[in-house]
Amino acid sequence: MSSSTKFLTLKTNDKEEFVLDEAIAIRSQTIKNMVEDDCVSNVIPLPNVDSKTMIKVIEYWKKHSEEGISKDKLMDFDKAFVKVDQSILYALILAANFLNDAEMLDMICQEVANRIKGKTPEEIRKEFNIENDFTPEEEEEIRNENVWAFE
Amino acid sequence: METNYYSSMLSVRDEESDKKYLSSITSKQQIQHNTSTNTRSDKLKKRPSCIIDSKCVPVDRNICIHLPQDLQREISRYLISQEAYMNFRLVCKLWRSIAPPLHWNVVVDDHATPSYNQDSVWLLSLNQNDGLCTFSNFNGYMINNDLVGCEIRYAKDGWLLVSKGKSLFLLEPSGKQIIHLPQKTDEYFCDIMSFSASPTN
Repeated sequence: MSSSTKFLTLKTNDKEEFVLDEAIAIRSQTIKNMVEDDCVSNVIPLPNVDSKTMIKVIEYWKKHSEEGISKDKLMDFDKAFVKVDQSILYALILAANFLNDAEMLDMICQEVANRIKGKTPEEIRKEFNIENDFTPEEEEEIRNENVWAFE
Repeated sequence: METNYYSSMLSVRDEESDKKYLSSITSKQQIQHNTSTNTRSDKLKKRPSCIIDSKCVPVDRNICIHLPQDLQREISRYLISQEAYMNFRLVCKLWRSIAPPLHWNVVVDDHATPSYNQDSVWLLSLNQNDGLCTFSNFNGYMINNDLVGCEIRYAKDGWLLVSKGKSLFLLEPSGKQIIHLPQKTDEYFCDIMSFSASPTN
């Protein structure tokens, strides 16, 4: 790395500070915009992200910024990365959304969708802890609405 | 709409469980909102995000409460199979409202040229497990596999009958198998060709 490497300090909502190479941090479009608009002072506050989640995000950014890493290795990394409890996935979605990292958001939304796919509505409710607020009639109505609309 | 949903959950809670809830989360709240000047009850109104009653399962796993609706809607867009999307809509009222019902529109374009254009070849494949139809653009495949100038004559059971000049072959694009056939002679030259069964059966 060149001597001109710049570092940014990111501060999460629980007051933890993370010092990160700017080249890695600007994987976040939000941070990138701040850097480009020159509105970065010493510390960038991340009011919507906690330190536990930020550690995961940085782990992802660093792995995806490694030079010469093979696609297979990245795929293995991603697979393992999303194998976490729902609550962590939600925190990661919120963080990726706030940090505006489309690639990471895409990957995690896909993982949540994968956990929905192939399940019955009841199984989905169980997985995501959702209460059924439909009457049997309403459920039937939805099942019947899938029609071809010839216009 | 978000607030409506939340307020309906709030109304289920009675005073008693409100207190329990308060005592169990106070310390966490102070950390997260230590810049806020709100009173405790204000905070509760703002973050009803949990517990309907004490029997309820841990808060942090309920996706509807945890994620804003636009992100829940975003997730529904990743459900490309019709069945998964339908099941998503069947989960709860909120999910029904964020994922619009499927409507299949048949678009007829009167101005489209009816002629068959080999410059733009699309393959349609059907996955028997999930019923998903996949369209894949075949042009790139033809260029990459040195099939430039070939004409696709017929398709059946995953096999294509392809001709190039006088040579004829059967091609299975996904497994990249090729079976060469005897060259056609002028005696049985024809424009339309087909085959009746998969060559490997």
